[in-house]
Order: sequence, then C-alpha cells, then structure tokens
Amino acid sequence: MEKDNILEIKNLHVTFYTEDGIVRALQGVEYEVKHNETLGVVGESGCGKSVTSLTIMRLLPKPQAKVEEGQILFRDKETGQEINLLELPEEKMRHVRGNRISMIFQEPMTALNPVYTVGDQIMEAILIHNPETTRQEARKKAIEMLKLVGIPAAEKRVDDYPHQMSGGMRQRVMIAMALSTNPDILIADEPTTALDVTIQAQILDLINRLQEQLGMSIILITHNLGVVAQNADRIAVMYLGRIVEYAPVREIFHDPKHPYTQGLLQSVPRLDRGGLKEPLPGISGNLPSPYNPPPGCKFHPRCPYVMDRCREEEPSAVEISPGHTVRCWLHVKGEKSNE
Amino acid sequence: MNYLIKRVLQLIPTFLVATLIAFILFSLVGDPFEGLRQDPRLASQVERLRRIYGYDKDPITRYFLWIKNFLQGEWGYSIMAKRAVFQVVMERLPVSLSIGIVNTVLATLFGILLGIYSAIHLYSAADYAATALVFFGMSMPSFFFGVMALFFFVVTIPLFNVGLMTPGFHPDIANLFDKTIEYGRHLALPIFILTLLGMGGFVRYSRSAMLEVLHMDYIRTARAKGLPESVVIRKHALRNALIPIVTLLALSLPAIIGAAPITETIFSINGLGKLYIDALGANDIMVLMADLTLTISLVIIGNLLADILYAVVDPRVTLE
Repeated sequence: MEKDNILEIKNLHVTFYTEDGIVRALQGVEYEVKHNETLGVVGESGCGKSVTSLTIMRLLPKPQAKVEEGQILFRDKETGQEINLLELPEEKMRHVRGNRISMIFQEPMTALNPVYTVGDQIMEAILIHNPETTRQEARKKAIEMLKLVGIPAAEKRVDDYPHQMSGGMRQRVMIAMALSTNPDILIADEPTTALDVTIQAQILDLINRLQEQLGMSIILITHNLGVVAQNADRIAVMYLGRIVEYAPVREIFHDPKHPYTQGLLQSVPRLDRGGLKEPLPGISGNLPSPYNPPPGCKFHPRCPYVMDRCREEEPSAVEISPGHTVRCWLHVKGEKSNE
Repeated sequence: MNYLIKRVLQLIPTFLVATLIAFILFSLVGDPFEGLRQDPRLASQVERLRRIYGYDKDPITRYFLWIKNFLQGEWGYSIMAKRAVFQVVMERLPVSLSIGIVNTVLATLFGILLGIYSAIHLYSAADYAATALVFFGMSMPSFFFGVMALFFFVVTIPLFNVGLMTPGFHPDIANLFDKTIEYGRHLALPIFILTLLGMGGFVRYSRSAMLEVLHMDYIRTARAKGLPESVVIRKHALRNALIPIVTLLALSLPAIIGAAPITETIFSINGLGKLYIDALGANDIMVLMADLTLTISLVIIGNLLADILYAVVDPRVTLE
C-alpha cells in the first residue's frame, strides 16, 4: 500500500446470485483513495459504482451477494496499520463503519428513520462510537454539526422529525450524521441526484467546504460528469462492473482515451459548443443486460471504433501515462502491429 | 383536540345506524312473542308484551323505543331465559371476558413475535415452520379442531374439562386455589384452540410489515452508522413495523368479549357467543340486540382507539 493512500481496492470481484440468474457485478475493480483527496466514480446505473461502495462498507445484501476475490486495504490513521476490510471480524468492522468510513445516500427523503428526531439519529451515531460521551455532550455535538452543515436555528431543528424538513435539509442532516464521528473517508453515493439543481450545487459546495475544514477523503459516486468535474481530483469511469478508465480529472476531461468516456463527455450539454440547435450525440445503443453480458470488451456493441478483436477478447487495463489507465484495445501498444 | 372531539361525536351516528340496521334485520324474522302463545300460562301476557316492545307499531318506531330503553339499562325481556336480558348478559360477560382477554393477548403477542422472528430469519427452517403453523391455524375449522381436541384431551385422556360455566361455578369446591385450577381446566383447551386459530393473521401481518421495513433506506442508514444488528432491528425496524400492527391491535378489541360462538358451543361454555347462538335459535331478539350492541360498541371504540394510537406511534400523524 502506498504511503499517501488511505484506501486501496485491489482486483475486487463481487457476484450476485439472484433468482433470475448470476450477475457478475464487479470484475476486477481497482482504485485508490489518497488522503484528503476526492475520487469521483462515474458510470451509468447498474455499472457497479454503488456495489463497490457497499462492498467497502460490507453492507452488501446477504446472502445474494458474494465477494469472490480481492482486497480492500484501509489505513488506520491512528495506528498507521493497514487493514483488509474484507477480512475484518464483524465486531471490528462496526467500528470502521460510520466511524472511520461514513456514507451518505441518494435518497434523503427515505434515508432517515421517520419515527425518530434528527437529533436522536445524529446522537446515536456519536454515542455508538464514543461510549464515554454523555447524552448532553452528544446533543451539543449534534447541534454543532447541524450548524456546521448550515441548518438555521439548529438548536430548535435538532428536535424536528425528518418529515418536517425539505429534501435538501435532510441531506444536510445526513451529512451532519456521517461527519459527526469525524471519519477519514466519506462515501457519497449520488448525494445530489434526488435534489433540485440549486440545492445540488449547495450540497456539493458544502461537501467541498467540509473537506477543507475537517480534512477527509471523499469517494463521490455519481452519474453526472458535471458534478465530478468541479469536485474530484481523480476519476474512475465504470462500465458493467469494470473500471474502463482511471485518471486525474484534467486528463479525463481534456484527453479522454476510452470511447465510453468520450461518449459520456459528448453527451453533456455545453453552451460553448454547438449551442442549443445541435442535437447531443450521446452514446448509441443500450446498456447490455447484466445477466447476459456481451463477449469480449463489454462496450463493443456500442463502440464507434469497434474492431474484430474487441468482439472476442477483453482488454486488460494498461497505464498509458503515469496515473492514467484505460481498458481498450485502441490503446494497447505494440500489439497493434500484429493486426 | 378539536379533531378528537369531532371524532368522538361522529361515533354517535355510526352507533345509531349500525344498531338500526341490526334491529331491522332481526325484525324481518318475525314476531318473537308469537311462540309464547303456545304456553297457556303466558298466552294472556302476549298482547301486553307486544305493546310494551312496540310490536303493534312500525319497526322504526319500535327501534327508537328499544334504543331509548337500552340506553337507560332496560335491555328487555329474554324469551329464552324468561328473565331480564341485562341480567342474562351480565352473567355471561365474565366467562366470555376471561376467554376473550386471555386469547386476544396470547394470539396478538405470540402472533407478532412469531411474525417478526419469521421476517428476521427469512426462508429459514423456523420461518417455514411458522408459515406452516399459520396456514394450519387459518385453514383448520374450529368445529373440527375443537371436536378433535375434545375427543383426545377430554374424553380419551381426561386432562381438561368441559361443561357449563354457570354462576356459582363448582359450589362443591370451597378452596379458592382449587377453584382457580378447575376454572383453568375448563378454559385452557378453548383458549389454546382460539389462540392457535386466531394468531395466523397477526403472524402474516407482522411478518410482511417487518419485511417491508427491513428493505427501507433508513435501515441501510442505521447499518451504515455502525449500529449492531440487534439495535438496527429493535430500535429502527421494530418501531416502524409496529405502526400498522397497532391498528390491527385496536381493531381486534371486539374479540375480547368472545367472537367465538362455535368454540363456546363445542365446549359447552356459557359465554356470550353461545348465548348468541342459542338466542338465534329461539328468535330472542332482545338478547341478540344486546349482544350485538356490545360488539358494535367495541368495534366503534376500537376504531377510535386505532386512530389515536396511530398518532401516538407515528410522529408524522397528528390529531389535528
């Protein structure tokens, strides 16, 4: 494990055994998260970005999901030790979950328990990981966290029930709850997808500000490239359970190598190019069924540069420049001459 | 508060309409006093009784006469028992209550616990066993199951007792402790049967309520917080799963005065259920109406209670 990494995922394979068939949800996913950096994970629905984060948290649905292979290495900031989260006993994992690694979810409307006040729910997270804290202290801390995430009249709203708050407010509460234990990593799984555009920007700004203020690493999962462009340091693009391109944010936006990344970027509406009259190119075709993925490169049925080789063999990840890897036959050098 | 007052006031028309419908239905059967003419000693009284209970007038007038008397505690005269209805019902009420309360408490308690256990251990052997038990209980008719139980546990092996639960029950037993034991021997079997047959609904209901809650996003949030699974279940899942169950609890209130006419008849227990069956045979309208009015009242109160409890357990609901 490299020194400035806090989390390293290595060759992660996760399979779902469902009634409708077997889904290989993750096939050799690898990425790393550096201290105080933000990693953006981008991809369409069903590409495995949420499954990866649930695997880190060890919250995959049992008994359908199974981790077949791989390692998730996490560096404990206090002891400097490397831990493989997948091998940690459940009792110890509980102290990582919500404490060292916190998570916020897509649906703020349903992610909070309707029968307890938001204060109760924040205090619960504080109390479970800090047994020596009294209820008064926890309550004080909860109010402090609510203020930190920008909830007005926090002293009053701490006793509100979730239904008394708007979606944006609830997502702020979720963030307050996740950060109340001062975690090393925050996993934000589509934190703004269910919110209005103006609220989206506010929440992203808030997450950025809190990262500077509190110092933590963030895994920002989204299907919206605009969201990661401003917030991420590095980006992993996922397609059907694989990371197809992994690079610093500038390179992804200015020099995308994988046809899928290029397609994603072209389908973002831009005012400076083409204007309103030109139709968006987008990516042709549909996401293949995860039960029955195509052979070879998983993207080949939709790829504009498809070659014979793509239909038969799956490319492995190649590093084309330092810190920039891509899974595409177009970029496998030296072997091209064989064609 | 205003809502509550309005809600209570609404009970009055509900009560009147329900009793009116019952009264008119019973009036269709015919004149209950006609049978008394057979008895030469009572024949002269028939005209007087008909006048007292309004059988010389139309059914609506008769209903208002009945309800006026009923509310004053004059529940009428039982043709069957040849006594005041109020007296007859009050004699039977403790018997039915003792079966009904114990049975309702056991059925709901075991039903809910078993349902929640099933949901947590979904598709385990215990879950399948519980499901099998539930379907057995729900599909087994009490007249068959009761008679079988009677045959095996009273006739073949005299473990339990059956028979008339009349006032002054077993006057030969002076010791209160022995009397209680004997009382238990009379009631244990019907209570067991009623519980087994009655808890099915609660098991299925609480199982599905719990399953639904366990798939909610806030359960995932609770787990992601690092709470132990036991806290996730007890604090976060259970409280939410109980919200719909509370309604079911309140609505099962009428069961406490014995919704068990068949079981009571099989075990010769002189409760309200058996009284009702006997009264039906004798066309004893005043008894039928008294029995039914008690049930109607409990149904209405149960509904009100369900509304109030709903607001207590769910902060999203207020009584405004």
